[in-house]
Amino acid sequence: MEEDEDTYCRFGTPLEPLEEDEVPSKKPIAIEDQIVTDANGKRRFHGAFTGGFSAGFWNTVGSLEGWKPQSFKSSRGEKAEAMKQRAVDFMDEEDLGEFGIAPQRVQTTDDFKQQDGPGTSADQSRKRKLQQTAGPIPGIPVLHQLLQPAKENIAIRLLKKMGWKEGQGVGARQTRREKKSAAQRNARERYVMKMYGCDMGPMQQESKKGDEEDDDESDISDEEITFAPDDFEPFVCSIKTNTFGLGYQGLSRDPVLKKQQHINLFGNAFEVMGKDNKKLSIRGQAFGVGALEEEDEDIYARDDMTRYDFSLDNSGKSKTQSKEKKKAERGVLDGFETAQSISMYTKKVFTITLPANFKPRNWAVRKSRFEPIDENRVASLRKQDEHKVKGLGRHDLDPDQRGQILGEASSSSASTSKNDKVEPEPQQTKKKTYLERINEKYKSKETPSSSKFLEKLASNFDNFTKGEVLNEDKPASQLEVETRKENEKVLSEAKNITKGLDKTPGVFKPFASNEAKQERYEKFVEQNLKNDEEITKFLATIQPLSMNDWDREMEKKEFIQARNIYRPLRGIMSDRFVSEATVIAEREVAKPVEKTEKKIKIERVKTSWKPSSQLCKRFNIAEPFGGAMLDEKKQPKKPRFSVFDYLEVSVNTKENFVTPVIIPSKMERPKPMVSQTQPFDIEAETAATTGRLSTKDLLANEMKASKIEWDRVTEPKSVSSEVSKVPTAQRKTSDKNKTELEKKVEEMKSKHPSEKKDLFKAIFDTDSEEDDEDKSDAKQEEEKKEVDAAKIIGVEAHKDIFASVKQSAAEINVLRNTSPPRGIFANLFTRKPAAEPPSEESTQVGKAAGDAETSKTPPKEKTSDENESKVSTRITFKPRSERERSLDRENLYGPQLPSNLHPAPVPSSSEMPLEQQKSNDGKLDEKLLKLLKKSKKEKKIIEQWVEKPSERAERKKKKKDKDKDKKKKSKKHKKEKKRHKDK
Amino acid sequence: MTALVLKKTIDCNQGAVRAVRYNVDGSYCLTCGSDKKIKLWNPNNGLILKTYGGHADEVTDAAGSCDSCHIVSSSIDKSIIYWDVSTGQPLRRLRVHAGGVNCVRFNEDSSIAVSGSKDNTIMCWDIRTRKLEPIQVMKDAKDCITSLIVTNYKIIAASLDGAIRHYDIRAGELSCDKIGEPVTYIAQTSDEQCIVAACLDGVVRLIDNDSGDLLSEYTGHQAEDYHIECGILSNDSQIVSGSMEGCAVIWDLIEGKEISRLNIGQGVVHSLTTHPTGPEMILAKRRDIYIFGLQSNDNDLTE
Repeated sequence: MEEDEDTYCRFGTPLEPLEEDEVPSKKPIAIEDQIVTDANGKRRFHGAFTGGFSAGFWNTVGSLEGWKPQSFKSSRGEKAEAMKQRAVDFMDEEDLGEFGIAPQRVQTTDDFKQQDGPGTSADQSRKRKLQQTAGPIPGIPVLHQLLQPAKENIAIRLLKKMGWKEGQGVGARQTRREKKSAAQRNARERYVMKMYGCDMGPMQQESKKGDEEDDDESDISDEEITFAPDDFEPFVCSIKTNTFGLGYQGLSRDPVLKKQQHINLFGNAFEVMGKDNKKLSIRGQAFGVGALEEEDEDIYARDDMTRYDFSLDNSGKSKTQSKEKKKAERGVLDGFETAQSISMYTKKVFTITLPANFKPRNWAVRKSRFEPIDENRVASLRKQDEHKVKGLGRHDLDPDQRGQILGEASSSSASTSKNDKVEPEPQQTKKKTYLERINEKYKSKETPSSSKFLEKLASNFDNFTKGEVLNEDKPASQLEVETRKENEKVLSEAKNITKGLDKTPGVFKPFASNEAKQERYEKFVEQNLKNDEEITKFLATIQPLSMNDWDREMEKKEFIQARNIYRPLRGIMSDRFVSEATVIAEREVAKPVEKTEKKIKIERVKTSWKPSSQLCKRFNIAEPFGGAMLDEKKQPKKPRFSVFDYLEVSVNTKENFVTPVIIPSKMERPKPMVSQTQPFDIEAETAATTGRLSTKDLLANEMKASKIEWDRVTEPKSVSSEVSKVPTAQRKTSDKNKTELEKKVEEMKSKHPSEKKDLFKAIFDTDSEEDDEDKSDAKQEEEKKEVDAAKIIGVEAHKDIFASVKQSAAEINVLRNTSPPRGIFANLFTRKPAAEPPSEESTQVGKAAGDAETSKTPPKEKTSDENESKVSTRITFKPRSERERSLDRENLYGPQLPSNLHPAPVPSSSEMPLEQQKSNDGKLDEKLLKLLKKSKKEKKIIEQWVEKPSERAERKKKKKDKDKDKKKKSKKHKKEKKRHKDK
Repeated sequence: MTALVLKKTIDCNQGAVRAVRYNVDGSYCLTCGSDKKIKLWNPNNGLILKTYGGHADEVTDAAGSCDSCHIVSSSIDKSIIYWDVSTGQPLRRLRVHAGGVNCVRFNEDSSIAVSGSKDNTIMCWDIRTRKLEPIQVMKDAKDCITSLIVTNYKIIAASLDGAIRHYDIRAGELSCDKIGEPVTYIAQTSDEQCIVAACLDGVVRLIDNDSGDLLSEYTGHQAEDYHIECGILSNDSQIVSGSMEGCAVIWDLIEGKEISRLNIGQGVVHSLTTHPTGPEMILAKRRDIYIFGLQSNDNDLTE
């Protein structure tokens, strides 16, 4: 682009580039909105309907300071100069400009001015003089008026110098007749110009007069006398200054004032009319044509017939008539004439001298390619194309000869014998070529090896110039012997030089400086060993014994490196190029394979997708899940779309990546839920049928289900936010603390459903086991129920713990810390030794109970203040020694646990046996479900129940709050009833 | 069923015909030309009814609305134009796609236009409002969207990444059927149970909508690298596909055997459209379209 700008000129001002968003306005700027500005960029016309004129400097007078009076100048010291004020002094720059009042421009001087007519230039000069008079008497000096210098155009002056006189035309002198015809022609021309061309200006009248004069003297016919041609000014179109039609002069005041008979609107055209003097009608558009009247057919072009010639030649009428008669006699057509001299037309023949060997050929007769050619021609052709067959002598050397020429070693016998065979040719011709001459020149010097070749070349060269006979005195055979000798000599020399070259032809020698090393290297390359050990072994055989180990090792490395670097070219190339044949073969092989392995297995992956509400509306479909689906992350609205948005589309960015989740259709909700909770059943079933849904959907379903349940069961009671949190809490726990089972699930995600049996077993086993236990141990059942209830209560009590994932944390803490409780915990646990898991046969149950209890600890501080306050107060009133002891304990076991436990890190599952954990999970689920059930049934009691287990744990020691116990019992009873119903 | 015969050949005179489509009731057809114009034809008598010009590049696809009052068309110039049929004026020009638009469809009541583009996105346009932004953009595909089907509750998109994606609006889920071969065109049976997918490996596949199983494969035509379309003849018993060899191949849907070949000379038959009700179809090859139908009754009479 820059170059272009350099090389091209620019014309005009470029349009302002349109802005991208700008719509080019189609409307041009209205006239009233257009502003005329001057050179300074200020408004030129303003005010008074924009007719006002800007004067002076920025619409002030004259200059920056405004109008400034002439400064006073004292004439005391020196005489003040006469003040000359000119109009120009009071003008602005604009006035002097091109469009100003007094334009300053280059003008033709008087000398070169065209004389426009009377007094134009003279008047002006007079005006000038008037201005310039500076004498005491104002006005033009009288003498000036009287005596006017004859001022002539420079052209006229020149003409006069050349012998021209005024009133005479320029050119050769004419006879009278010639002059007359010329005048007529001029007149006609002028008329045509006038009628159809342009206004001719003032010289018409003059020429007219001349014509008349000529007519007077028409009779005189003296051929001898010659006249100067008429002074005829070549017609110059005067510039059109008006807006009239062509040839129309308009009304001038003069003729009216002069009382002429008619108003000459059309110059000459009216002349005829004026002569008959009858019609005084004024015609033309200037008069009498009203707005509603039709215009005259032709206003400007008034033609009269007198202007036309009706015969070809008026003057020589008799002559032409006689001529025509003659023509008619001779049978010559009108407008033609018989020729004066009869000359026959002869066609000029262009001849060329044919070359001697030219053979005419009839090109029309087509010769077939397949026709046999005559033998002569064959021979000649063959001779001509000999070099084509033979080549340029380069290729009719056999390898031996070439080798000889190149100085290679060869079996000399073979070469000589062959040479003998070839030799006779030059002998026969006995003509030495130009090349031979050169050979001979250099033969004495040091290029004998090539001379032979050149000689031979030359002998085969028919195309080279032949003919010169050289060295005839010297017999060719002798020459040959000489050359042969020399050849051999050179060959032996060359052999010595290029001794080692043929061993590794074309391969770079990396160790050329050290011959022995190079030799070793070559051997090494030849062996082409790959194994490191082999290489060392091999090299050991070659390397001299004097070399020490280090050198050997170095050499080995060098060799290997060199081999890698200086691989022969074909080795490198073979990597890159494959012959076409192999490619085709490969393709052929590949094709059938492709066809056979076309086994397509369609995978279906389902993910959730949220259709926009607008889309649903337009499709007339209710939004799935009532529009409660998790919305995809809303990206901040971007004003513009960039391509980069789409570049990221295919990339799995965090934002748009959704992990595909497969949930096998076989999978069902956990059994206990179905068996224990009747109302929930329906929902669970529906969930089961839509098994392919993603986890999100499941969760959503669950949420919905639970909500519905809540509404149904606890109609009047308000659903506490805590309870509704439970499912979310559950989700959280499952998300954060990945148990073994969860890990397994994740592992199984990508596997086929058939392979997931283990997983399902793992999921369902615990539950079924429990059920079995329930059935088999009828005795234990009651106990278990109790325990269960305890569990439930425990869970119930610590919903808030659940919410913040404390359950599992607490659980695990206990599991981990098997040592007897100390510190503040010591108090807790020492009080309820009976609550400790007693039996080994139901480890799960016991543990669960333990869980429940341990999980109770933090809320004990929080919720049951009235109970714990005692403890806390007791601590505060401890004697000093005790306090110290406690401090010691603190030192021993670290600071107290915070009142509300924070989520523990991922449990160390390794410490727990797998089955236990599984069962644990099962327990958790169960607990949750039970919790749900409970909380559904009786909301209010929950609070009391919270405290109960703690009470119950201490009951064995303190035995307090029996009324509460009663309530609990009734509760238990209810629960039992419910179970029976279910069964 | 009697074989289809060539009833008419129309030289569309608009460069290469990129796509040919029947309107909703099959009484008219639209051709998309490489000369940036869309032409509306009466395929029965071969008369041109209107030409729609306004695209800045080759038109790739077009669809008529359910009331045949509007046309929506897509072009390589990345724009989608919503046309008024009678006036031939573009009513809306939607330019949001970042790549050339490959396909466009109306939904059932023509209130939504769905477009699939080379920028791997599907955009849903509320075409009746003056909004120039899509109401939804689906960016799931990993390659160009080649073909779309819009049913009354689903948007099905085929992509060159070898997957067919079902966007189920009712269920709010996206099921992605990974075939593995780039899919160039999809058509749906009238019972909406199956999808016929033309794949780039020269196989037309019949896929069950509900389960995503591969039901059948139809081979015999040549696809090479061409974007070849397929279709289902109205009675749902035959599948038709264009071919590189200048013919259309018809298979029996159930047996999967080739029934017949409609030869129309040299050139690639890349686009075709089947009549929504009758046993007719239109093939597009180079600059011509070929209308196939049953032998008309009067011809039989004369015979």
